[in-house]
Amino acid sequence: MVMTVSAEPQPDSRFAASRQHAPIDGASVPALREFWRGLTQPSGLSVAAACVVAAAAFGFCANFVTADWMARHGDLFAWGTDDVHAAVTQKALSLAMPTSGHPRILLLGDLASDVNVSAELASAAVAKAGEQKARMIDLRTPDQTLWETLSIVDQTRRGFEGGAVLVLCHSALEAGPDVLRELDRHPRIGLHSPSVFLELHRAKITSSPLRQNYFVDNHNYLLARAPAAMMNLSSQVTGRTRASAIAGRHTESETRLGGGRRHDSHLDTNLATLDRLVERLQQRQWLRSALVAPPRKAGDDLLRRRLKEIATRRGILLFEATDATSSRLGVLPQAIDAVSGSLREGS
Amino acid sequence: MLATSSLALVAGKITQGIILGLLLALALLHLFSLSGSTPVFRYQVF
Repeated sequence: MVMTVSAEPQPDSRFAASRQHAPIDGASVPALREFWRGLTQPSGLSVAAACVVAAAAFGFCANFVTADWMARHGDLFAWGTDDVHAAVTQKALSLAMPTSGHPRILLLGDLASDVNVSAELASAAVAKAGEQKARMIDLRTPDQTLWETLSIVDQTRRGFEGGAVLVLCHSALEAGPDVLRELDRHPRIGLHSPSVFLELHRAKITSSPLRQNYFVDNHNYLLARAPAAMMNLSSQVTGRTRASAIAGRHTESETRLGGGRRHDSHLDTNLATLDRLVERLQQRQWLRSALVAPPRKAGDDLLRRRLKEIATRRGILLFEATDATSSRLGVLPQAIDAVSGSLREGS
Repeated sequence: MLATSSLALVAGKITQGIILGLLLALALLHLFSLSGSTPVFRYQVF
């Protein structure tokens, strides 16, 4: 009986042999054991790596979350679609971006129910601005303080072409330094600005200096809204409505300042701030600005007189309801009309 | 084999560092969030 033996080993047996002699089985267990030891035992290297990772996360945020980025993606930090403050932050930051050169009418100040601006009113005002296209940008928030308005105005570029209508409210003119301090620590809008820093300095409130970095200067705003950003990011992945689970808890009444520590004694300070705000508007070479006085209430004659003084001295328009019962709803269109008209004359 | 074990040990330490670093960043974020709170709720104190 003749047996033939093949010189070539069978593929199966060769594979089995290589499996037998490979060092994987021999080395993987100690390697895994060493990896586990490195993972679980404290060491200087892991502490250093932790510091590097934490610093890298901070550096990434400081370089990535810029004002330009926020102007495009600021809605990521919105609690919901009705989050006025996040919307205003995003719109205000976009004011610093290059535009097509069309004039813009900014609505600033208090977002009150008696001075709502309808789409029809907005388009009528824009039409009044003449042949060239104008844009009306509503930057009002509920009970917007003068400091918040200042920080919005600071976002505009020098040589900004347009006008502004500032809707004043009693709470803005009666807010004391405690409100400014609270706004510095827990800002409602993410627009820390040099003018507000000066106001903090004037009020003798210690604040961290401006670092010229959006993330660092506005970390209170961003970190307070970090849960909303996480939720919005996850909803982008899952396809659910943005921040829908928490949108309901952000209502206009909740965002209004309460009626607590407000005093007429702050009127002088606040009118001085208003004066500086108007001066700031004029420094920016805006074509025309108008003030809408707060609703009438008993005993505010002094306030009205002082507002008229400021308007006369600064050469801006002042609009107010004629009597205590009339709403300011009719006054705002007049103010917008006047500013739109001056844009046409100025163009 | 010795080199593999050493590499695995270093990899384990770095992985631990990355996990700790992320946890540290999250903890700092949480602390800041607590101190910053959300404006919506903080403004009730006025």
